[in-house]
Amino acid sequence: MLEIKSMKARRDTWRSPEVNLTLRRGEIAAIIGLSGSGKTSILLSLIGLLPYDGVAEYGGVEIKLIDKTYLRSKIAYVPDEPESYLLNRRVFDEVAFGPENLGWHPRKIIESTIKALEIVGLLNLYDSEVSALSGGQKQRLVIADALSISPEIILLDNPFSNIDWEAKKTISKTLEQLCGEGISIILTGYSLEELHLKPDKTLFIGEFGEPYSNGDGNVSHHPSERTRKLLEVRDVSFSYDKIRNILRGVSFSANAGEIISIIGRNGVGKTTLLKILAGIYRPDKGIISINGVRPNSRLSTYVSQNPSAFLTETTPREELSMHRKIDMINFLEEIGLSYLLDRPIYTLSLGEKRVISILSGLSRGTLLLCLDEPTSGLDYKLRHVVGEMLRKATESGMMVITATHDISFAEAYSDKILLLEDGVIYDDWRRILDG
Amino acid sequence: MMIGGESSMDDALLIYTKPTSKINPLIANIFLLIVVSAATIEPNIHILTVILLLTVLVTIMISRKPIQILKIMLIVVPFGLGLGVFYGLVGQEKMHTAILTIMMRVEILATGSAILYYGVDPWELPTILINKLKIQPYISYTIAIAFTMYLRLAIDLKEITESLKSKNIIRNHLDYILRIHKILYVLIYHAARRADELEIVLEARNFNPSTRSTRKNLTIRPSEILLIAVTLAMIIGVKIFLNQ
Repeated sequence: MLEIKSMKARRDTWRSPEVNLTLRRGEIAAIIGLSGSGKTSILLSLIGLLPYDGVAEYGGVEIKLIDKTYLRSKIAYVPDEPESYLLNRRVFDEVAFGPENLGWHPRKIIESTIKALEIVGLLNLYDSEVSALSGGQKQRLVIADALSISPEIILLDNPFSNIDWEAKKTISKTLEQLCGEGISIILTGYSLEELHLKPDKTLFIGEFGEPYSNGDGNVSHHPSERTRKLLEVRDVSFSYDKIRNILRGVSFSANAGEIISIIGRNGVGKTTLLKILAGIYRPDKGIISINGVRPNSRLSTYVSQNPSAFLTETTPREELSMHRKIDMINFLEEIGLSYLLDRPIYTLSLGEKRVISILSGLSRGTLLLCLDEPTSGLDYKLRHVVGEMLRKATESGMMVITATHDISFAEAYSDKILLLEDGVIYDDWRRILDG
Repeated sequence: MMIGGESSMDDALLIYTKPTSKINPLIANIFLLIVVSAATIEPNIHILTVILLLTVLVTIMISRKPIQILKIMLIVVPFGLGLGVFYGLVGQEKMHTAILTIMMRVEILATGSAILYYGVDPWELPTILINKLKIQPYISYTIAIAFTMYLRLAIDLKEITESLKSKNIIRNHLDYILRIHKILYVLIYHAARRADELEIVLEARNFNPSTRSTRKNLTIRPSEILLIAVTLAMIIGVKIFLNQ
C-alpha cells in the first residue's frame, strides 16, 4: 500500500533523517523521535505538502506524481494540535467539511459523516458545539474528520500528547478498531511508552533513549524551607456562567519549596484553578492565601499552556533579562541551550519556546509558579530539563504547581500529586484512578 | 430528532441542512454595515446613543450572552477613551464631546462585531454569498477564512492578555493602551502562526472553493427582514425628529 525507501523530507536546505517503511493494509507504524527530529515533516511529505528526496510510493505510484486531491482523499493527515484542525462550530458540520470539499453528493456526505461519528463514538454529540467538547473528544473528532473521507491511510501526528488517561485508552481502542477494518495508520510520538498501543512497525529517527533515564524519582529536599506553609487554599468555588460550578470547594495547602502536580481529566478545571492561584481570576467563594496574602501577579506567575502567549520579547536573551530577579541566562547556558539565546523567538520550536517560557516565569522570582501542561510537546530530553529546572527553582523556596496529564513526569518530579475530579481535590489519586 | 440507528435519511438530511448560524449571515452583515456606517458618519450623540442601544439589544438577543456582551463593552472602554482624548486634542470638538462620540463609535463597532462572533458560522457566509449574490467562490471563501482567523485570534487575544497580566505587564485597564505595543507584537506573531496552521489544515483537508459543495438551507426569515427595516426606520426616524 505504502512503500518508502531512503526517503528524506525537505524544508529548504534542511533534510529529515532517512526513513524506510513498507506499510500494508490494516497495519500500524510508529515513528518515534525527539522534538524537531523531522517526524511531522515526514508526514507532511506523504500528503504532498513538503517535497522529499528518495522514494515514496502509494499504490505503486510515486507520491509526487499523484494528483494532490486524490492523494489527500486516500491519505488523511491529523496534526498534533486538534484545535488547529477544527474549523467548524457544530460537530456534524465539522465532520462533513472534508466530504464537502470533495464535492460529494449530499447523501454520500451524510452517510460518511454518520459512519465516521459512529466509529469514534461521538454520534450522540452530532449537534453539539465543538468548543464544548473535552480534549479527548476533540482528538476523537479530528479522527472522525479524517475518517469521513474514507481514507486508506491515516497519518496521526502525536495523537496522545495532550489528553487524559481515559481519552488515551479510548483513542488507542478506536485506532485498533480502524486497523481491524483495514485502515492503515502511521503515528508519531516521543517514546513507545506513550503510544498506548502496540505498533506493527516502529521507526526510530534521530537520537533516542529512555524517558526520564536521568530522573531518579527523588526530589531534592531542603528541610528548613519545606516545613513553612506557603499556600493555603480553602473551600474555593468558581463558575464561568454562574450556573455550573467548575470548582466546588477545592481545599489543599502546600509548603515552600514543594513541587505539586495537579492531574485530572480534560476540562475538569485544572487551568482555571491555576489562573485563580495566579490571581488572574477571583474565586466566587473560598479563601486563597500565598504567604498570608491574596494571590496577585507580584506573588504568583501563571505560564500558559501556549508558550507563545507568554513570550513578549524578540529573543530569549531579552525575555530572560526582563525581570532579572533570578539569572536564568546562566542557567540556560548550564543546560546546554545557550545557542537559543539570540535566536528570534518566533523561529524556536514548540519545545524550545516552552522551556524559555518556563524560564521566563522562573526569572520573575515570585513565590509561586503555576505551570499549565509544562511537558506538552516536549520529548523526554526536554522534559528532563524542565524537571531539573523546577527542582533547582524550589531550592530557593519557590513553590511550583503544575497542571498536567503527564503522570510519569508528575511521579518523577513532584512532592505531591493531587487529583482534581468533579470540582474537588483528592490526594489519594492512585486509589481513585485504579477504582 | 434522531440520527443514525433507526432514523431515516430524511431526518439526517434535515440535520445536515440545518444552519448553525443563529442569524442569517447576510442579514448580520447588512445590519452591521448599517449601524457602523451610521455611527461613522453621524456625529450627533443622541443618534449614536440610539444606535448603540439598538446594537446592544440585537447582539444580546442573538448571542443570549448578556454578561459576555457587557464584558466586551467594558473591555473596549479604555480604547474608546484613549482615542477620544486623542480626537479631542487634535480635532475641533470640545473634549467631552470628542470622548463621548469616539467611545460610542468604538462600543458600537465592538458590540456589533460580537454578532458575528456569537451568531454567525464562518462557513455559512460564503454559501449565501455564492448562492444569493452570485459572488465568486474564491472571493466568498476568502471572507470565510479571514473570519475563521478572526475567531481564532479572538481566543488567542484572551490568552495573551491573561499571560501579560500574570507577567505584571498589564496591571490595570489603562495598561491596555500604554502596553498596546506588547499586545500587538504577540498578537501579530500569533496571527502569522495561525495563518501557517490554517494553510496546512485547509490543504490537508482538500479545501477547494470551486469544488466545495454544501446544502445548508440558509433562507432569510421575515423577522430578519423586519430587523433591517426597524433598524433603518429607527435611525432615519431619530435623525428627522432631531432635525425638526
